[in-house]
Amino acid sequence: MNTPPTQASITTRHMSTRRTSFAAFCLCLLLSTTANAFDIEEDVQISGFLSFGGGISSAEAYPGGDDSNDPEDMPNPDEETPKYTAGSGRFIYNDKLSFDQDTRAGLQLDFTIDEKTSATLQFVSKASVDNFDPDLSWAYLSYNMMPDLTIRAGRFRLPIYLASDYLDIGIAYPWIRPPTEVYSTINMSNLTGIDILYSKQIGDWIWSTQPFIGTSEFERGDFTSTFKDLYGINSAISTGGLTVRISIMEYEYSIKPWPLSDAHAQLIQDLRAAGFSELQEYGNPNGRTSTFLAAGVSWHNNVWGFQSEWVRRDNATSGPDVDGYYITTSYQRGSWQPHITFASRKITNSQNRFHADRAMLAAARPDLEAFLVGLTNATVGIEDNSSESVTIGINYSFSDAMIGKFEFSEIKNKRSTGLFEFATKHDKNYIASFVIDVIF
Amino acid sequence: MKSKTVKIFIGTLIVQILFISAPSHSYARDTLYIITNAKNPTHSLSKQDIQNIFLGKIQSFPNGKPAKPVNLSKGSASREAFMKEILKKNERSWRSHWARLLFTGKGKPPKEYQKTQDIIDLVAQKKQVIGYVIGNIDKNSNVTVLMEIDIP
Repeated sequence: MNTPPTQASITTRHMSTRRTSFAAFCLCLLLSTTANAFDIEEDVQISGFLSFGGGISSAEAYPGGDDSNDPEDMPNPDEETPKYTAGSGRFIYNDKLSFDQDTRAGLQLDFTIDEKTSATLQFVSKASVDNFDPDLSWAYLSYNMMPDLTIRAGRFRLPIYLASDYLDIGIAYPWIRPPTEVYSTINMSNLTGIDILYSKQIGDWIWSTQPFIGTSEFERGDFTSTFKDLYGINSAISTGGLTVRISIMEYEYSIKPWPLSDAHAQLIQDLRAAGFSELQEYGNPNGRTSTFLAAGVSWHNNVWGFQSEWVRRDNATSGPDVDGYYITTSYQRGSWQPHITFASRKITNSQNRFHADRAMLAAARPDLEAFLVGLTNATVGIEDNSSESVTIGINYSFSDAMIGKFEFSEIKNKRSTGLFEFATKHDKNYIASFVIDVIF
Repeated sequence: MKSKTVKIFIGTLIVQILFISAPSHSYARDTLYIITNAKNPTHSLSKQDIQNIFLGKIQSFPNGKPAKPVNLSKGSASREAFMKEILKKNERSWRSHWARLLFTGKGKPPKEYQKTQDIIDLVAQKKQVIGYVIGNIDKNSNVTVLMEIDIP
């Protein structure tokens, strides 16, 4: 089934046309601002990363749909293999060992234009997105106005999580992938706009902040999703190995086309005819403002590491509101680093998310009600689910530029199918995965 | 009387054993100098300040003037001592720290040079440069010592 997009089940798929034109624009800009070719030694810094990983899940298929009290108990009549997913399709593990999901490579070019100006391009290639076709994920100009004040314009990473900036750089964090329960809350990872980086030393502390504003738009299947009027700020204080960080963001989300399909248009007409016009706009996310909040703390010395983040997404009316958190502790001994993570996400408005008129509709027109719920669930996908996990892992540093990681996760579906796309036989499932992370 | 002699004898013996068994390099103590240009108004920095500058957490001296840290190449004994004594980091955590900043667009690691003399020359030439050297430095060479520590 081609699941329509939802606010948070959005990936950076199918952006290639926009990216290509954006890349061309940036290259022109680069070429025009610099009369001479770059001296490769002095003016261009090339850095790269590569991760090769694989994994497998224990989840078994299950027909589902047998709990009539749970409107979210999605039937899986074809017993499709449950796939563990972060958002929609960002990475997926099923019962066969697969190497696509955590495998990726990237190349970053930093051009020094003059003392204060530089340009950055980052190309990333992932199997889980566009089958390894490289994407221009970042392209921005930065201008260093003062030693600790930089303004950037272009396409860059949405800086909302502690690890936002280096999501693809496995060597920069202990896990194979950042905890899904938190990092899938907002899947959109890049935005086009402007941000400001500012740092100030206050006694022994350094305060840094980053306001940002922009838009993000992309196509997925037959739909175009837009985040507009997006703005936010993060603020962090740090001293030694301790960092405390908060961020807030607001945006207006829309899907085009709306209605999603002919069947959806028909449903709207039928609802109107049946006198349930309140419900016709049900699930329509267009033109509504959503808020995202995050708070995180990390502390490490050369032996122990501790990191925790909490996030909340308050959606437009009728969308699922999500709370998520994780706590990670790691211990370094020589080249070895064992770590453990507890993570959880839950839907906070599952009780009142459906419109009050739905019960009346169920009595008057059960067929329409079933259709409405089905459509809504399909739109929302796994977004309406709650999940909890424990992950233990062990990392080994082959060198300062190469780490091997192995992880074992126990994932508990707390509501509906959890972070699995289809119903699973048991509520408790396991994933084993490994990765080799390299930077160069 | 006898017991006192014995005590002194044993005491001397212990001191001698400690003396002999102590690693020889602890007697050839070296000094690590953190240096900047003589024209730089900053004349001293704390360990924390130096850490912040070399780890790219802040790109200025406490007085707000820009700071450009320079580093020695990997494999140099001075670099090893500097990382251990001042930055409290090993090569691995240094690398992952800079991977975080580099792939964030929030900073680039300090430029690296092969020779100590290159560092001294750069510091002597440019006002905002901060570097480190081990051993003797010519006090007349247009350089200010921001901090000096003995390394074991």
